[in-house]
Amino acid sequence: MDKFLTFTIVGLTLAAIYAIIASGLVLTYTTTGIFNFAHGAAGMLAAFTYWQLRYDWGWSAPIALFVVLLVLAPLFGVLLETVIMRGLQGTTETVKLVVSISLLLFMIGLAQLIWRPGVSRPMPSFFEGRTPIDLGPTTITWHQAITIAVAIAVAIGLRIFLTRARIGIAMRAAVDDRSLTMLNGARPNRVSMLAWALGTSLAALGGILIAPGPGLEAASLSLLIVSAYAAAVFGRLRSLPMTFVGAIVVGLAEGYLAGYLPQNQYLTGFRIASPAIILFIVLLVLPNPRLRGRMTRSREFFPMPTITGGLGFALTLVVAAVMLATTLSDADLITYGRVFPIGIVALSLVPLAGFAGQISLCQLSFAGIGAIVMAHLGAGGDPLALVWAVLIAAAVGAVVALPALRLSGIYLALGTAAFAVILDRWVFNLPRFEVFGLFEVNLFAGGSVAVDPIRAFGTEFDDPASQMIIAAVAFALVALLVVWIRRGRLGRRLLAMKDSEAACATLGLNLLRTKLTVFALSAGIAGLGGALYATQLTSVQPGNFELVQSLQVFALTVVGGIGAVGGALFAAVSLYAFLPLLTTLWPATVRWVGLLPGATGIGLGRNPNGAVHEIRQGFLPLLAARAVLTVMCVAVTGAYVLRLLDFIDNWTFVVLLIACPVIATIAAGLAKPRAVEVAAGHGAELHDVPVEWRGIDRPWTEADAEELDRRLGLSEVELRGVG
Amino acid sequence: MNLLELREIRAGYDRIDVLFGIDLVVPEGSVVALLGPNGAGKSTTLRVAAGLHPPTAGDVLVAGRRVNGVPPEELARRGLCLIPEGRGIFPNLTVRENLRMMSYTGVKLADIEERAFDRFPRLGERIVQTAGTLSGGEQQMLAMARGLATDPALLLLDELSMGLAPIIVEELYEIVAQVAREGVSILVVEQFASTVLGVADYAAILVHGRVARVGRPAELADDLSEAYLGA
Repeated sequence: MDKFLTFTIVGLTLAAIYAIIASGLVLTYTTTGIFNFAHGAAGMLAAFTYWQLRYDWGWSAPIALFVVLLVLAPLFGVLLETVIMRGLQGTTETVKLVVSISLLLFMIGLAQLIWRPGVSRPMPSFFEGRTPIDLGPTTITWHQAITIAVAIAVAIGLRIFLTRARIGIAMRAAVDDRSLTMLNGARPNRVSMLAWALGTSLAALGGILIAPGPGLEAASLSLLIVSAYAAAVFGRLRSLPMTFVGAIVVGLAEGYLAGYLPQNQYLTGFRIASPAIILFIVLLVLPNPRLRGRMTRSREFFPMPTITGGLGFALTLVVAAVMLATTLSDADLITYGRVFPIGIVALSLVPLAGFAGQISLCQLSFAGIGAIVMAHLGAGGDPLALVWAVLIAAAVGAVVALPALRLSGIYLALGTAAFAVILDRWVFNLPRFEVFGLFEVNLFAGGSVAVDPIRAFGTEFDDPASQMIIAAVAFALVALLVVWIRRGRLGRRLLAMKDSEAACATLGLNLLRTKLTVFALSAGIAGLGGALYATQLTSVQPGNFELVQSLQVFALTVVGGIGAVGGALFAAVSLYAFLPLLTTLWPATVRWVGLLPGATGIGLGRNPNGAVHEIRQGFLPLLAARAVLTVMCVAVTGAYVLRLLDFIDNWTFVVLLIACPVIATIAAGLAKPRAVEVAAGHGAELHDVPVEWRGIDRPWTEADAEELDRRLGLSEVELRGVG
Repeated sequence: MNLLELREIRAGYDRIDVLFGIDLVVPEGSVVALLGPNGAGKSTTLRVAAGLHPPTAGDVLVAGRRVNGVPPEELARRGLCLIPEGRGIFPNLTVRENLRMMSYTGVKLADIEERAFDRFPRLGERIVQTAGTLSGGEQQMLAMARGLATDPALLLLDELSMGLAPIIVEELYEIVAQVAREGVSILVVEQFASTVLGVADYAAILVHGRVARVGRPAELADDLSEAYLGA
């Protein structure tokens, strides 16, 4: 009984913290429609700042608390709202999600930049030395008592604020109808700013209260707050009372798990992953909105790829990979070779998130499964293991898809993130175990496993150069597959499903099968990427496949343009070529590069179509100017030959490799005006605009009217009759 | 004096133009009806007038002063009130909280409530009820009550009748007529042409983003069917 009470108090304390954090999350979500993935990170930053003021600089606790909770946190919230979040109105959920995920990555990077990881920063709880309060059968520490009291105060305060204060009512009004609040004379921007200020303060309060338990560590503290998200999901991200109920359920569950879960090597990871498991269960158990008929119109536009374009892209890529593989040193190849397997993982997002609009934050986890399969079934270098990696990852993907079918948008993102945490904190860390004595499962062998190089056609591909070429060829093939899917029946179905599930269902499209297919396909591709990644690394561990990496890959693929294969390449190149290159060239940047992926993602709100779209537009004149293109190819080949003959060094070669297309594009751009004139002369220009955009994209002409009549099958007689 | 004047207004959504040079005046103390088929640009015209949608060209004048770019909350404080299409209410707030939102215009809650319940006694009985649970007619009454509570000089009404039974529509337009008699200028958009023509002093017919006809209701009755049927 005493034990039960003790852990009830532990649970209630957690519940109090989760309630505080989750209510801040709900406040910002409801008033501005942005689910702030970085909410926990704001709490983490606050905890670090408090530690800095209180323990490093020795300020007194009340002053430090005042400065953090009532000055810095609200200012930070206002800053987030005005600088970043306000620009996100009218963008898709994916873009909003990427921006807040990038913010999370940025804040973790920032914390690690300011407070170097690995240094011990003890953070005592409040009134640590004081004797706990005696409650008869058990005791409660002052920190626990304060935490619970603060949560109750927050609950009452928020209740009064939101129903009595006019600005509080305006906050709820903005949730119902933002433009109507304007018509009433309230200023919604001011309401949003206040919501973010208040929300960030609540996150800060929660962060400071929770930090003494797990200790100050940027990434884990930010993600630990996943439990608070589970509480918010309980309230369906809208209802504050239900959020408090959810917090109590989640907090108590974690408290009792801590008290009663048997201690053994299989369940240590389970305890660490328990918040994610609870979040996953809550997401599945809670009723979800049924099919929505509302069509979401957005600023995104992904053009249809052509087969020739795809082939050109694939061929260029393979040629470039061969050139690099035969010129770079082994050490460089090991560093930059990772571009292609990670690129394949990013490619797996294109059909899933780009075409079908299903957000997944666990692609690296599928890659991890592929890596495990490669390590065990590919022992000795059997290339068939690659096939197994694809099949098994696809099967797991389908299994994940089953529960995920009920989720969409932000809930799906949370569900897949929870799945990733469950895998990388618990499942991947499991030691060897037997299933009903039938067969043995040995994932990462509780640490890391070695991966043999692929052996085929009597050769062992154990050198980085051949591995890079294999991965590049695989990337090119998968890219072609994705292009082919986009142009085919499945691609059309996926895009239709993204636009309106309800419409698809009424047309007789089997949503279940389509979603299962795309999830399995995507997981399979990720599995292939993981398997190839594993052969390059030669030894893999759970740390290679963590949620944070999935987040980075997802964010940068969206930045690149998630609807096209180029976006995947963009993500992989920026993460695994650009960043390492930057630190090689300027070693001083090594501490700053952690901020870059996040910073890039935050800038996404401006161009939802992705960077690749613009890059492509830039290259279009080059593709049209055949002469310039030929000269460029000759120049690149020449540079390659010079490098092979050792006339120039690697650096010169790489610079030439980058300079040639750039110069060629500029040259082609100069040649372009003439080309357009020629085209106009042939009247070709008239037909490049689809019929429905004529008169909108360019002036309406008589010829258009005639063509429209012809296409509609209207005869002269009928036209006269109407006129 | 003209309380509202639109001069050569052009507006659109993204790449699609909706209004091609609208000229419209609402003289003080009169009711002007804006009629026209679906997609003619009626609601867009109202949204431009209320400052919710920026015009791409042209001027909006309220009481003789140019107000292009003035935010809608500022216009609301200057006595312009739009009751939007659908139900212009906050469904998750109570009736009282809905009325309280109007106090941003500087009117005291007590005054707002007094005026609202005078005109719509039925709302007084439902003061703590959540607005989303009211009947359609009551919700529209609440929207009007909220709009009128601030004593606006100009009332913009968008499709009061939407989704309501004809008998309730009649009832609502009786209130509109009464409000007009009290001296409030009104610009009303409506599909129920016959009902609104009984109340209006002037009417304008909008077709394809242009004002096709303006005149007294009696003069327009014939043109109306043409505008709707496109014949």
